[in-house]
Amino acid sequence: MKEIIQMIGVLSLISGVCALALSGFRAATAERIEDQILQNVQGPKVKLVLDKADNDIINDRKTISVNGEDVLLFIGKKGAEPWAIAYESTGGGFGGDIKVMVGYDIGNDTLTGIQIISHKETPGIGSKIADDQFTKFFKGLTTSTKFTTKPQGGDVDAISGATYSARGVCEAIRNSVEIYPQVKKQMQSQ
Amino acid sequence: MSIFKEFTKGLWQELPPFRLVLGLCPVLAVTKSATNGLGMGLAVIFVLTWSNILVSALRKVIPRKVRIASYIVIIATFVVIVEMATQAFFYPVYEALGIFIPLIVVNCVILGRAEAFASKNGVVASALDGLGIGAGFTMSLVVLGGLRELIGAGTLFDVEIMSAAYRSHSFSFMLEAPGAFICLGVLLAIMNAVSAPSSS
Amino acid sequence: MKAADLTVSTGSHWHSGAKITDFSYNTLLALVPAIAMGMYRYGVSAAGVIGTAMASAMIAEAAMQKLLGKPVRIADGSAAVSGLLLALLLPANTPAYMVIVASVIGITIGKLCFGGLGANPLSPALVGWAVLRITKPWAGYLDFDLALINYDLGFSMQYPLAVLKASGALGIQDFNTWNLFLGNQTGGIGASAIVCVLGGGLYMVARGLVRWEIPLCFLLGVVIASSLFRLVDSAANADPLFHIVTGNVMIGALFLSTDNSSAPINRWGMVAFGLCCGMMTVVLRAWSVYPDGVVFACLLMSLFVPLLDKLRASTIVVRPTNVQITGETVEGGTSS
Repeated sequence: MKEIIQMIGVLSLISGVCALALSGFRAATAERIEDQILQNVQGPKVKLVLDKADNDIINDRKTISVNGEDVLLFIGKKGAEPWAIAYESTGGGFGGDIKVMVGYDIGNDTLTGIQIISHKETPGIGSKIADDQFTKFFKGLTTSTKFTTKPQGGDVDAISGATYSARGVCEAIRNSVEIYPQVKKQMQSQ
Repeated sequence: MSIFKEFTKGLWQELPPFRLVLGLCPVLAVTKSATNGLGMGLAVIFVLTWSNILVSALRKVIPRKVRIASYIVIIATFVVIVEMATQAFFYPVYEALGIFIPLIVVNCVILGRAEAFASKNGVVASALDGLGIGAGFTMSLVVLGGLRELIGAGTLFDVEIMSAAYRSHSFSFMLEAPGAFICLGVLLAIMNAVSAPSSS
Repeated sequence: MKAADLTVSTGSHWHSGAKITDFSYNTLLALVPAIAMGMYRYGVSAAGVIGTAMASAMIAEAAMQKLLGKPVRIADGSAAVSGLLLALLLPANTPAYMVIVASVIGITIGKLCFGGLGANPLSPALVGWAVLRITKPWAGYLDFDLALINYDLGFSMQYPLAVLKASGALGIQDFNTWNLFLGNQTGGIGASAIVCVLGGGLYMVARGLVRWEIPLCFLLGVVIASSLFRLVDSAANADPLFHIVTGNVMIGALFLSTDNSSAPINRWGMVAFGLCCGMMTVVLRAWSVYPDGVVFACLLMSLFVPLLDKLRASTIVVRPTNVQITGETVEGGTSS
């Protein structure tokens, strides 16, 4: 009996101390890890979307709340003036969610560009949505554009063989455009 | 045996992947480049040394029946620390090594040293043993990764060594899984051939 | 006095009355028509590939045997055969360095590291070919449409299997099966000369140097699998005859899969081996990223040979009448 208690005690103690150490370490590094993921995963895409900005976009970010959901907002500046904003949105593709970073010029309400953050589309077919050829089409479109594919009565060229993937991107952009007025208002009021 | 010997034995006599033929999964999987090998090796040195120290310090406290469970908890803790640290400070390395950092937990070199050495020896000897075996492991990974990178891509630590003509037509077979096995096999054969007279 | 030349080895011992040298030199002889056709078609460059492959294979064998402290036996011709088979699978203008790498790795890693002739689990020629195939920067040289782009031989210079892969049964309507059979198609130096390979193979079978079970069942397997595929989707899959007269199937059935030590030694093992190779070939042609699947099918099935060797008819056990039979089974017998 004494042996069993000793076993349980020692193992629990070790596990407890380890868990404590880990949670401490996690608390110490969490912020930096988040920053690293931003720099390495979303960062390059954000910089492509807001290519004319001359500030450190990753540092000039803030979280705002739209319809009860948090939106991570990247702000691109020219000089000291905010020039454009970008945030991520999601649409359903053929193989899973497609995450798209959409940038807006807040001066004239046009898209500065889009970039695909992540997708699970078929390599070689649906994955064409991440190619420049597809994404550059959106550059300079106004927010009042009908973001659906042409076969569905919209303004966007579909990709042959990748109908669902292109629709997914359009859906993500529509979701993004939908909250754009609120995002813009909140950003300017702060 | 002098205490210094605990360190040096890991560099040749008990060189993990080649002499003990232990921990081959990461050895084969992450050695697509010398940089990856070095990153993995450093992670293993850290985990191995600290887990050896802790296991050795607690060797009289831990009951025999739950020792493996305790070792795994200790090892896993250090692995998670390494994972978070690489993610926070060396993000490209973290991306390149991917799943193989968490898999250090099940690397048999580490559990093997805890069980075979640290649980029977003092703290200083165990620390040196961990450092030595870890250094040997790192050395093996860097040699294997360097060889594969040099032949397979024409670079070494991402520095372009071979001519541009070679790099565009490199023998990328070495970067594939079969290339890893063949490369490891050839190195094993060379090591055995070199040390054959002394062992007989 | 010369020591008796008794090499004890594991592997295949289906006695045909021939020595290893006979087998090798007869294989070389049987492949002469295919070599001739290749040289007639592709000229000096084909001769260069064949010569490079055979020479480097023999040099590699001799060097490795010296290194391992074994008697040098390149005169038995087995290395030459491996080099030749490898060359016959390659396009005529494969760069020399690729040929050398493939035959050296095939011979050293694929054969001598496992103990030399008779102990190799995979055919050296196929190992060499596979090494080239999975080396991505070199893939262009193995893509027959790209590699043979400068040749115009008076027939369609499109690789039939690549056409099949790209556009299904509709695309291959222009290929005449009889023409393909006569070897009027692009492909490996010798492998594309279907009728010559068949002739050489029949010679080997007639001499008893190649057992008939494996080639026949290989072709049967191709027919079965391609018929099944065609039954499911006749628009995407070719008919069985097309599969037999294209790519490496003929050379695969008669020369590659019958490699002495990487094929089973019992009749039922051979039957199963041949059928599986053939079916796997068609499966790989339909579903893999590569147009042809013969080599990978043979390699894959060679790995199953130790299991397939257990398929055998039960041995006849003659029980001596005056000996007490105990409960023990005779080793290797009474399995059924």
